[in-house]
Amino acid sequence: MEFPGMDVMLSGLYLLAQPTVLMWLALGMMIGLVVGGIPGFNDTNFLAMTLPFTVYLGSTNAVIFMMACFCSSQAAGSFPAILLNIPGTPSNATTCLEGFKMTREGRAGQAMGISIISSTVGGLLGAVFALALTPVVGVYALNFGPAEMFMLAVFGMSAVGSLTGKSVMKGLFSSALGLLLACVGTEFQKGYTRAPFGFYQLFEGFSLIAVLLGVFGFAELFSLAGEESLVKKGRRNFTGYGSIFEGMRDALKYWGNMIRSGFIGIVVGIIPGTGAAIATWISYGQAKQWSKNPEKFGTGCVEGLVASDACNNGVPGGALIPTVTLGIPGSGTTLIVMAAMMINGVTPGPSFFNEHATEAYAILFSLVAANLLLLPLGIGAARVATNVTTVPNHFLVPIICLFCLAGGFAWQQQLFDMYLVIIFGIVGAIMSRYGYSVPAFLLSLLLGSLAEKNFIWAVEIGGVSSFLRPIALGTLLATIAVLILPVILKFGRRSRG
Amino acid sequence: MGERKYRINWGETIIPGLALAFGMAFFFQTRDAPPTVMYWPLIAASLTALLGILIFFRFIVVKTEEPVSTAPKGIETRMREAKKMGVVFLGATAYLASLSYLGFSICNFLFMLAVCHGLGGRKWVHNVFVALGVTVFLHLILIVLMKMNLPRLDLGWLMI
Repeated sequence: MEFPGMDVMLSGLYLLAQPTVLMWLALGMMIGLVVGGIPGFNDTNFLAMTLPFTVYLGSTNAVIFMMACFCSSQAAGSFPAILLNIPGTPSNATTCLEGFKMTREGRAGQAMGISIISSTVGGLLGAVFALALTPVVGVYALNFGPAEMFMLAVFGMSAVGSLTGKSVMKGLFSSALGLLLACVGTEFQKGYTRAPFGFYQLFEGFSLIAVLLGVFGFAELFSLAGEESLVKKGRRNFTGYGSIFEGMRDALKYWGNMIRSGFIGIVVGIIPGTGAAIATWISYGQAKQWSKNPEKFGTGCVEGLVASDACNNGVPGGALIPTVTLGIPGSGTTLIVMAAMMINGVTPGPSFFNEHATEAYAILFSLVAANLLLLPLGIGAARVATNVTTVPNHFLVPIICLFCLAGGFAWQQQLFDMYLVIIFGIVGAIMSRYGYSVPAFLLSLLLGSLAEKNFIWAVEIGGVSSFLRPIALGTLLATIAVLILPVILKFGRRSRG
Repeated sequence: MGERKYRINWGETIIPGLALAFGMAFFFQTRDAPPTVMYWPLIAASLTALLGILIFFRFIVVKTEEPVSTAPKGIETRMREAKKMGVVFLGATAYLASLSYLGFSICNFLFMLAVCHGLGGRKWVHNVFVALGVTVFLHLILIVLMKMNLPRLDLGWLMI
């Protein structure tokens, strides 16, 4: 097996240094800082809206733009959490616990400083790990045949299904439903078109972009419409740049906690279906266990805030590893990143590092660059981000709605997809309301045809025994473990009272 | 203590109901399909059905003392929220219905104006200003810059 050489890495770095690529990186960072700062409207929703337009960017620019947006929005999600006690993204719930308490004590600037430096360090750790691990995983991933790929798809769907819904049963049901919907359209064996319901637009199945825009962007509108404003109450007591730097110094005293939390983010990010929300709770709990003053947690504790934000930004690097090398997205956002690659004719997976080594390294280096840029941009954005949260919903809702509908049209330029956005928006809103897993549903819709193809090939080529090869069997065992994990966690929580 | 009875949680029936309707329509449409192309859909449908049955007994039919309610908010708040959701839904549907006749930009402007007002934006001047700004922005980005083939109204001397 041959690992990509230094010359390929350098050509990746050279590609990243191109002015156009750097422009998309910087733009992604700036947009991410704004989007992450808007409560309830996370980076996944925003990236879903921009997805159709990435076809005009090319795969490398599109992925770099999206990853930059992902990194900075993860960091910026902490801003409203600290200042207004409203998490910008679900993963910022732990930030609220400590950050808002600090704000109430008049230490808002300090909390912002802690958040920015922790996010930067966590993000850099994640980027370095991705840079080091991704090519290795990619080379070994070449051993994957149809049986292994099928098992991986099943693992991804089961993991996301069992860990992201309000109940395992509903999460798995969402996965199965997505799989059933993926059956619509022309199948690969005989070219038979399954159930187009009289619409030629469904000959190639449901448009992934229309479904994405519907279940993420449009569905969100129904909850936003009911509110007067994104921010109902809370107060801002930002006290200037001096306190930001003071917070940074305080955070660096807990460098061990910062590194451990970043590492937790990376590991959890690698596991498909987990995401930053789960990672930050694990990290927060770990920090409390290791702390000399655990009683201070929940009262505006620096250690808690460091653990939460370092972990939060470690996740993108970890999540990128399975997305790029195995074609299994580690989170909802990387699912959209993967979709952007596929739209641009690049299929992430085992052969990605062989076929697109330069682009792959450019993407990985962009993650490092994005996290380095995060520090100055984050400090600057801290002052302005909160103003965006005051835009009244009666303006914000129709604007988001128009972007969703126009985005639905943009990909295949057909009005039919705009109707799909509305239909799946309603379905997505109902799914969210009753605790079904939207990411699981989408992942199955995305991986459905891949799973079908590889299942049929594996059975035809090697028979059932091909599923018993080491990697396939290992993945099957991992799938079983992932299905059992929530049950064990539930019993664990019960026994602890 | 009231008597515990089996009750149906109607809200929970929506997604399994939609899945059932979709499954039935799917297999009706593919009734003439060659068997080899239906193995995978059958696996997916069986899995969905099995999990659907489990959901039926776990979430749909539940044993409680009180009628099942999933919304803790008051009826007035719920009505107000439902009205605003209706504004978004009806606005979007009307927007799509008129897109082919009025063109993208005029529809955008009217949609923005109507939904802004419907969601509580009472100052018409503000609404017009924002609607105009968004319309011009989208027109420039999508039609002028990206050259998208969006429906446009042909006035003879001007295409908007």
